[in-house]
Formats: sequence, C-alpha cells, structure tokens
Amino acid sequence: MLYESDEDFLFQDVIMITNQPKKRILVVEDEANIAQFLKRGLTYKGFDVRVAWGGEQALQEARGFSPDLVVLDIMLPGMDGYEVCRRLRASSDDRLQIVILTAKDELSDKVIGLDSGADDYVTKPFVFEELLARIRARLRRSEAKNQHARQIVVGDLVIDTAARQVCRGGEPIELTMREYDLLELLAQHAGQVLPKEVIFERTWGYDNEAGLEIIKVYINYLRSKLNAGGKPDMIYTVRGVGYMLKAPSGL
Amino acid sequence: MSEALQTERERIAPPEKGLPLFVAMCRSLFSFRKPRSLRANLAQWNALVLLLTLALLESVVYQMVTAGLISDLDSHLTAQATRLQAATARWKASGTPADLNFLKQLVHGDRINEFTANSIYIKLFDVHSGQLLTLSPQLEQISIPLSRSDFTAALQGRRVLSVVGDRDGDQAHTLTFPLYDKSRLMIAIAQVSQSLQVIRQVQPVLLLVLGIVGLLAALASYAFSFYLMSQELRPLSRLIVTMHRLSAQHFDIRFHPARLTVEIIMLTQAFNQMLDRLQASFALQRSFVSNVSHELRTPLTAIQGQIDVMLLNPELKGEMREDLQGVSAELRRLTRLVTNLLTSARAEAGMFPRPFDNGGQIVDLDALLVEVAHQARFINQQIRLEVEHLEQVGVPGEADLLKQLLLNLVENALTYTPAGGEVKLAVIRCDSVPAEVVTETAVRSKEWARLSVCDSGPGIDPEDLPHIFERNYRGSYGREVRPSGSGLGLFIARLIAHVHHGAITINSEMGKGTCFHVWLPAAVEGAAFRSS
Repeated sequence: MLYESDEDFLFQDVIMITNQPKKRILVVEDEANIAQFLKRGLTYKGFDVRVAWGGEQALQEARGFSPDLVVLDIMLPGMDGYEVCRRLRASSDDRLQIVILTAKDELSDKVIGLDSGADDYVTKPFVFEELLARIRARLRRSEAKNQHARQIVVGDLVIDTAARQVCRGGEPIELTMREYDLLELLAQHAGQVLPKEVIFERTWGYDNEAGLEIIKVYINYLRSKLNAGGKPDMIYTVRGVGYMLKAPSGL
Repeated sequence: MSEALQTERERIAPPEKGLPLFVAMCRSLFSFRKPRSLRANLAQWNALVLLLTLALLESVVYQMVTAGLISDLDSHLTAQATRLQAATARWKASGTPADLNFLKQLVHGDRINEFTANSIYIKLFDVHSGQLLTLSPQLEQISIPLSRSDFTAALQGRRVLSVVGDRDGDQAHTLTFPLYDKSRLMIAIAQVSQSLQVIRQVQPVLLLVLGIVGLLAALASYAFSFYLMSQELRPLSRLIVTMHRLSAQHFDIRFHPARLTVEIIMLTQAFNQMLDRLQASFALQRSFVSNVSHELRTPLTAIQGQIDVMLLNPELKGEMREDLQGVSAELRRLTRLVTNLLTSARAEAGMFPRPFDNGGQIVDLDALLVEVAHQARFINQQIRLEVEHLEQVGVPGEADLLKQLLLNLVENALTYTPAGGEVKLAVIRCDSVPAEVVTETAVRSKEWARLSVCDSGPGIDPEDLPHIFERNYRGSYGREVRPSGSGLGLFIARLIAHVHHGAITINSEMGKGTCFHVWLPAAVEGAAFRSS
C-alpha cells in the first residue's frame, strides 16, 4: 500500500487496529469505591465492563456475559475468593484470563491464587495504569492462543504463532518473550508503520513510553538476533513515528 | 551431630566431653580473668576443701607417725634398761664380783649381726664420782656428757629420759638409771642412748610424700569434679544452645531435660513459660500487623484508583489537573511509605518476606525496571529519569518485593538530587561480582544480575556511608533536604536484597553523584521463551 503522507497511513493503521470488537471484562469486587473506579477507568480505556459484588453473582454473570478477562478481588465476603477463581476456571475455557487483586503480603498467598487458576496477580494498592498494563498483556496472550495456528511469512522470516517459534532462512532464532511479542506485532502488520504508542500499548500495556525510549532498546535486541550472520535488516525505523517490518528490498 | 553443628555448639555453650573438655579444664585452672567459669569455680572449691582436709589429716598422720617412731625408740631404750638390770641381777646372783671385767661384759649389750638395727649404746658411770667407768665397744667417741641432773636423779633411784642435741642438729634420746645388784646395792649409774637420726631422716621424706600425694589428690579431685560438674550442668549447656537457636521465627522449641535435678527442672519450666508468653506476644503482634495491613490497603487502593481515573479525563485541565496530579504524587509517596512501614513491622514481628515459598517466581528485571521507571516519573519532574541500559535477565524471587526495593532506591535518588540533575537506571547481566558481595551473600552463582540506580546528586558523606542502611538512619544532608523522611527506605531495600540472596553496594563520590548497585543471583537461562 502506498500512502500520500505520514498522516494518511497513521490514520489507516489506527482504524485497522481499533476496528476490533470490545473486549469484555468482568470485575468482581465488593468495595463500592474500588469497583466504581475500575468500571469507569476500564470503560474509558475501551473495554466492555460489568461488575459483580460477590462470588455467586460472579459465576452467574460469567455464564451470561462470557467475559474475556476477569478482575477478581480475592478478599470477598461469602464465598472464598480462591474458590470463586477455581470455579470460574473450571466453567470456562483456556481463553479466559483471570487477574486477581490481592492484599496479602505472603508470596505463598499469591501463588495459591495462581494455583487456583489465576493467570496473574496485582497487589493492592496499585496504580491504575499498572493494572491496565497487566490486563492488556493478558488479553494479548489469550488472543495469541485464540488464533488458529498460522504462520506469518515476511520475506525469509517465518513465524509459527502457535508454537511461538521464529525462523529466518530456515534457521531457528531464539527470542525472549518480549522480543517475540514485539516481532509478532510488527509481523502482523508487516509493511505498515506502527507508531510507537501503539507498539508500547500492545506490547507493554502502557499508554506511552514516557520518554524512556524503551522500544528502541528492544528493537535493537531484535535486530541483532534477526540479522545474525550478516542477514539484511528487516526492521525499518521511521523517524519520529515508529517502526516497520518489511522484507528487505531485493527479496 | 554433624561436625559443623558440634563446633558451633561448642562456640556457644561450654564443652561437655572429649578433648575440648580437657582443654577447657586446663585453661580454667590458670585463668584469672572474669567472668569465671561456674564449673571451674565449683571444681576449685571442691579441690580446695579436699586440699585443706588432706592437709589437716596429713599433719595428724605426720605427727602420729613421728610420735609413734619416737615412742617406739623410747620403749626400746626402756626394754634395754630392763634387760641390763636383769642381767646384772642374774650375774650378781651367780656370785660374779662387781669389778671392771664384769662391767665390760655388761656394756657389750646384745649381739650385733647384719640385721641389727638402731644400735643402743651403753655407758656406765661410777656412783660416787660420776666418772665414766666403761662404755659400749662400738662407741669410739663420747659427745654426750652425763648431765648433773640426770646423775642426781638416777642416784635417787629414778629413771630419767632426756633428749640431747648437738651443734649439728643431731639428736639422741638417753635413759639414765641406777643398776642394782641382788641385794639392792647400787653398783653403777647406767645410761643407754639411741640416735634419732633415722627418724629425722624419715621425716622430710614423709613430708614430701604426703605433700605430693595431697597435691595430686587435689588435682585429681579438680579434674573429676570438673568433669562431673560438666555432666550435671549439661542441661544448662543445652539450654544455652537452644536459646541461641530461638529467633522470631522458631518459637516452637520447648525444653525437656533428660536429667531430672530439681533446680534444672525449675529453670527449664520457667524458660518454657517465658517462651509461651513470648510466642503469644509475637502472635498478637503478627495478627495486629496483618489486620492493619489489610485495613490500610483498601482505602489506599480506593483513593489511588479514583484519582487515577479522574486524571484520565481530558476535560480536566489547568490548575485542577495540576492539583490533582499533586495529590496523586503525594498519595503514591504515602503508599510507598506505608508499604515500607508494613514490611518493617512485619520483619519486627518475625515475618520476614519469603520470596521463595512455594517455589517462587522468575522475575524479569527488564520488565520490572520499565514498570518502576513508569511509576516513578512523577516523583520529581525536575529531574530527568532515564533508562540507560536494559539487558533481559530474570532472577528468582518476588516481583512485588523487588519493585519495592527499586522504588525505594529510585525515590531516594529523585529526592536527594538537586533540580536539573538526572537519575539513570540500568540492569545488566554479569558473571562476576565484587568481593564484598560474595562475603555478604555467601552464595555461589554462575550468573548475576546487577540493577543500578545512579544519580548526579551531591554524593554520600563518607561518615554516613557505613550507617546508611541502618533502620531510621538519616544522614545530615538527608535531614536538610527532607526533614520528614523516615530513614526506612534503604533499610527495607537491603532487607529485600538479602532475602533474595543478593546485596547492595554503593559507589559514591562527593560532588559527583552516587550509584546504588543491587546484585542478585540470576535465574539459569532456560528455554528461549517461557510459556505464559
């Protein structure tokens, strides 16, 4: 695709990326103040949010609402939070992500949560953007799991999304989790320039880099691994905007 | 008991058996510094009492032996005198004249052969003049003259026993008595004598032997007493070792003495009761901290969340936004302080953070650093916060704790660096650590992670440097810049580093800046990516 100007392709990309159905989040929290800001904040950030005040209600809502992710406060009146977690996990498929909110200090209490079927935990008190980042990261995970196993091919780069494996020119490349996430995102939009904000939000979950230049660091790691053995660079830097993955010209 | 445990035990409590006991025994004999060893004291008193008793006994023995020997000698003299008298009477009865020949016969005395011991010498004196008439043939020289009083007394018919000594210190006993013939006519004055030399020779030997025996007995008594005391006091040693093992975490130890002596039983009962009270007190403290912890977290979460969400609204502008951001920043600072306080209170109640319970997690330090940098960017807007270097390295541990550690260090750096300065964060992987880290962590790891928080501040005063990690410690500069600081941040940071088997080192130069380096053992590089 050819673009007339910078603004043009930015606009197109943004539409493509946000033209997805809203993710559904179920918040299970008995403290009204906390439930309220969670609902408002998450709704503002583009999620479809429902609130349940206790364990029983949560299970009911989950059946009807079919959330993509549950934010579950582990200290609930009535049914034990861990029990709710277990039942939620049991009654839904792998796709459901559960993030528990815990006020417990002992690591073992947090690990119990993970053993009960939670995917991650956030300790109270937390800053909202922290929770948001975790939620986004979790949703991205489940999204990846959800997609039918497929390959993304860009030039001589082959990405197996189900196995999370990468090969270039037939040779396998070892990537860390974050490097893979970054590469997969770029590959899914191969040939398009991804703005830094989008990259940061999709990969790290934060709304902005806050001037920390984090992406650059990981792009460089990625470059050195992909280009090992003298292979030509596939990641293009678009100054002031973002990055793009493309088969090197000539291929 | 393993070797290491045994020697550790000996370090804490007095030794009870084998070579160490012997060494302790010898040492205590000659040591005069306070405090003294209880066993040594008891053993010494024992030995002393024995020594005194023995001294008393031995002096009695000595006296008795000496007296016995002397009285033996005297009765010999008396017996000889009686024989002489009898012989005289017999011969006179057979009609022998009392002339010199006869006297010479008399003084021959008993026959001497090789077995004869303690020769008794006989001298005969004239009854009128007191002149020596004849003497034993063995006597070649007379050193003892007849004393006037003895002579007079004998003339009166008495037997006189005297002790005579010469200038060299030699002594002899003399028995002076009259010799009668059959018709009770005094023929001569006889004097029998025997030297005390043998007795006087025996005495020092006896003294020496008694002395040596006494001393040896005292030493033996000391040794045995020491050993026996050690055995009796064994429950006490065990008590000491047990008490050392007690800590806020291990309160379950109760003591059941094997040897049931009354005093030990009373002591251990008191000890057990004290432990019960302490355990109850700690349990109370723990539950209090847990309750408080939960009570504090809920409102903090609610307020923080409500403010955060309010700030999401782009309609909120200008002064209102600034004010709200100010509140948010203060709230975050409060939250950090509360978190530090709770960790500190828990540590005091014996609830140290345990990042490896139930296996623990692997924490990606690069992701953590990004989180921390994000969260900390509002602490001080006048300072440039930068992530300088990010290597992807994971460490075993707990994410929340490591985040608390980093936030404490970053908050410190951002607070004490003047406006316009910068704070740089970095995490690198390395395979060697400075010597001080090795000693502090006592951990061998092939790979390490190093987190760095470096600032361009004024540096840390070398006087403050050794105290900087102490709880509640505030350097003079710190008190100047932020008088209301708690002094907890660095203390908690080091605590967290320690429970992760790591350490914190400082590079600081006055006027240039300070770098805090957190060293943590890295997780073994496993598969390329960890499945979620």
